Amino acid sequence: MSEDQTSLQFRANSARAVEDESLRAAMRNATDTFGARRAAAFEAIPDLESLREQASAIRLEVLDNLPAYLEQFTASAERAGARVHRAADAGAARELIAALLKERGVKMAAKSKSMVSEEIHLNAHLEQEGIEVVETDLGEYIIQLEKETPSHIIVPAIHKNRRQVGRLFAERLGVPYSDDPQVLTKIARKVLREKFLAADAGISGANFAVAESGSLVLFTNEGNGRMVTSLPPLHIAILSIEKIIPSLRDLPPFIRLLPRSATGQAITSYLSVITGTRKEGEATGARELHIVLLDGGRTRILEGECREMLKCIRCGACMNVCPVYRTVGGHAYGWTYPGPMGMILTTLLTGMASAHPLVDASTLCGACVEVCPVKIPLVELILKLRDRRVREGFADPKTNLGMRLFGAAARSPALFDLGERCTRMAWPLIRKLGGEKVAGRLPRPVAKPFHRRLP
Amino acid sequence: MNREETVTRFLENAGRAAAGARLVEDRRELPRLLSELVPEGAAVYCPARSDLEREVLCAFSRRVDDYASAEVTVEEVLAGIAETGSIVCASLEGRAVQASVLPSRHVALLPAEKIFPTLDEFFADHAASPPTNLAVITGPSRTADIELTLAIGVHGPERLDVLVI
Repeated sequence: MSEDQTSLQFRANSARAVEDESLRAAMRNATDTFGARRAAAFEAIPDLESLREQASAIRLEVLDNLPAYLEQFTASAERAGARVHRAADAGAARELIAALLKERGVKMAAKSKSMVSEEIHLNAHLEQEGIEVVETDLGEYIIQLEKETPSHIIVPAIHKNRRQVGRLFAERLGVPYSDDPQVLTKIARKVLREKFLAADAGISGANFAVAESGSLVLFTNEGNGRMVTSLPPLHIAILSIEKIIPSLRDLPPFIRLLPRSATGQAITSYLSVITGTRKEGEATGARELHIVLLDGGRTRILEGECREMLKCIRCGACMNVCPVYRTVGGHAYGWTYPGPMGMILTTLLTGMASAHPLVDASTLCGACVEVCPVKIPLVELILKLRDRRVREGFADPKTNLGMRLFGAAARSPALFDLGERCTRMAWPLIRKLGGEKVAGRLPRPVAKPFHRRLP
Repeated sequence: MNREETVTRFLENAGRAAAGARLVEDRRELPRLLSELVPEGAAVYCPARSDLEREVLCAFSRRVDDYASAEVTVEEVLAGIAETGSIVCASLEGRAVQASVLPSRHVALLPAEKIFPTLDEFFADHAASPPTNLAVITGPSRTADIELTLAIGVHGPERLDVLVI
């Protein structure tokens, strides 16, 4: 568990978040908008179900043969001029990247959005080592100026409104206050353009790594990803091992699914396919490309009962429809990944001991399962984790006792019947002693329960 | 899908992605169209690597060799994809793919026969040995990072025009 993970305080975090009116308004706006755009975007896709099946099958095929695909990717990428490194955990990845940058005397690195870099707390580490890291995605730039963490994996500053961003820019960049997103965007363009051209290195993530050709695939809208990966002489890409797809031929289904699921776009403004380094006679590409493949506990997940979580392509659709996420926002989950995919991945990656309250962060309504583009059985996985929480001794003892009593009663019709009668008889007493606070939350017993009304 | 349908579909989808897309029936019309599209006196980067690029050079009053200081890039692109209305820039023939992202305007010259009907056909063509850098470009640079309000031209071009020839 990393020192600043607060997943164990999920309930307290949530209670605080619910009190924050401006956060709730921002979350409502964002998740409603994304939900509606996503639905509209898929109207044009005649056979969504078979597209999801196809994408899910490709992801499963990769997971079933991950070591072989990783080997193939490494060989192809190195043939194209890249160096591929494997990092067992966050610490190893951080140190590897810091060493690469320091050996080359890098003072400033321009960075495009990468959730894996958030997962390993890369920026903080590099800054400790004296390397300035500039986030260039507008949302990431905003939260970097504010010294916060992302609250959504697609729109990191989703929790901030335009007035907050305007005040932040005025204060930190010394520009006149404006709350017009177009004006604020132009300000960021100007400030960050200078950074791009001055950076000694670019750091990026990747949405996919292609085994056959050794390529990295990045979906972006702003253009910063293209600059980070092609302008500086050194490019370091950090991604986790499960991001492999077998071939560029397998990319189209993901192009059709990922942007639509994430932002409701038919395709992002830019889709970059980067294969190795600049070759003789070429005028594009980094001179040196290092690809860092992070395991960080994924091999362990792959061997377990929740392996399908690794099919995830990080679109964020599950968050936008989740009644819990929509209410409490991303920060309450206390680690890098929020929402339904986040509660599962966080528990798997950081361990039950560091994250067990998160497995309650679901109503089990299944809205996430319906929108998942790669058909991850999220509800099933949540139930498996709840089961594991009990087995591993992290469940609340009172809940455990209650569940055991209910389980015993539910198995015996006579005992169940007795319990029912007792509740009915004790109802006036429950109301009197507990008041509305208790009785109001319980279903009122009826004279003839449903199961006895059946023929 | 025949050629004509592919072109129509490309133009529709490129327009939907907020690119200015139009069909140019006669390539001799190009210099006149470009002198209308490109503001008088703007610094233009045009690599002049293909016949098409050389034919249009006469339309620009001010050319620069350094794309980073250009206001407009005018170039022939590798391909188009009708399914998404995208154009594709690649690092082939010594081309600088960054030239399509740094200037605030990008004008793509796209011969109709270079348009692939679907993403599948394009990627099947490049699966075995893709060039160092492929950029599939759909509309101008955009963000919705502030309150999900669309803002155009974050880091890349504010305006993209595609002339299908």
